[in-house]
Amino acid sequence: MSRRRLQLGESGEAIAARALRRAGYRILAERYTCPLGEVDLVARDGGTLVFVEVKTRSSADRYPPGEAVHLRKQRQVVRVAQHYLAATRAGDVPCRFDVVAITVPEGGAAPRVEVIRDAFPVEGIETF
Amino acid sequence: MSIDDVGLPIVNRESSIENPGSFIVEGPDIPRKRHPGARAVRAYLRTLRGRAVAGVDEAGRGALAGPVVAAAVILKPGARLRGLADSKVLTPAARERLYGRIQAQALAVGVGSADAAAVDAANILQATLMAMSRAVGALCQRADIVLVDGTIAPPLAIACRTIPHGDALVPAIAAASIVAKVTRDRLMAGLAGQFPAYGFDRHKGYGTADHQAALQRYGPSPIHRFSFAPVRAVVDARDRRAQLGLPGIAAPEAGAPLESNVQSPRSNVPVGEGVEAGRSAEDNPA
Repeated sequence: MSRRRLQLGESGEAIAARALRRAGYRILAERYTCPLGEVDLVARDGGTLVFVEVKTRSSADRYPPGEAVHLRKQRQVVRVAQHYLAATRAGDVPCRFDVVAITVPEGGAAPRVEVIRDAFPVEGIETF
Repeated sequence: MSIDDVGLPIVNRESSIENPGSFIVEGPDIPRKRHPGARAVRAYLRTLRGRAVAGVDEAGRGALAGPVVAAAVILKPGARLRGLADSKVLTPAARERLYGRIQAQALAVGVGSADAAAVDAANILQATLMAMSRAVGALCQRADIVLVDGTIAPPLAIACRTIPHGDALVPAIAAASIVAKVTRDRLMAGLAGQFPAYGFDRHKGYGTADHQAALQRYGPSPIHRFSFAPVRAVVDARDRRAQLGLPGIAAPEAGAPLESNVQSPRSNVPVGEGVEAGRSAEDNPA
């Protein structure tokens, strides 16, 4: 991954966290890392625990960022979520997976942030 | 009370003088407060002149979250550390100042830690001893004798002795208490960035009112110590609520609408189509 792209991803997480806070989410963890992988944000939305994958793209890219979260990545996020739930003894807390899609336009205009709630199902993804 | 009445016996009383140039600083740098056995400790310290003495102390033993951190410090002979005292009686600013001077004037500084998972897996005492052993092991110079604050010594291959109130009586232990405290505070400030809901930068994981309120509201984070009663109580309370069929987590913040407890995963929708069902929020970074 090039240096430039890495920086794009990092600022994307900060933008996503701000947008989610504005939408009433409370950020519990940023870049939660465990042996199974990493999830960009863990948040609370009302009574629901939300695991958030942030995807940042410049508008020059061919595909919209939301479609970059493929099954393999979804599996990984679910695995990390299970690790977080176990690590916090969270039991039967209701959970959800959101994707924040950020599109950075050319020429330094404000990025477009789309919060896709419940972007993929909790069940039905085999994690092993 | 003599020094021989307290703590563990010296394992190796005849430890060789490998570094005759090293001895501990004593006297005017430590305020002469009244402590049980203070006179005996001072007399004992004089017998250690010429040996490399490592002081060991810990920070974060009582915190509800984060690691327990220990430090080991061997002071340079003749080190001038005015204001050196037990980290508990110093302001954060004074600790930071002394931390820099200790780093500059110590022959060796070692730091070790044991994380919250280690605290839960064993217990806080064993985790503390583990951190202390690691701190001594991290010293770049071998100590002739290790003096540990408190009454229980970590498992070490070096001669070791415990000194109750050592953080107030032994300069090397006072220095270690400062290094451990400052190191842990910085660590917790970093973890505050990773787990922003709990205010770890303010209370460093200790059980203050606002920390307990955040625990109630958001549940524990992965770095909380689940073997500690206040954390355990939050988990238990939530499990009891779940048994009664009540919402699994504490009420959301005032003003926010209570969301349904049951979030139906849209498991019948093919993966990928959820993209359409989004809600958008424009974000204008300042």
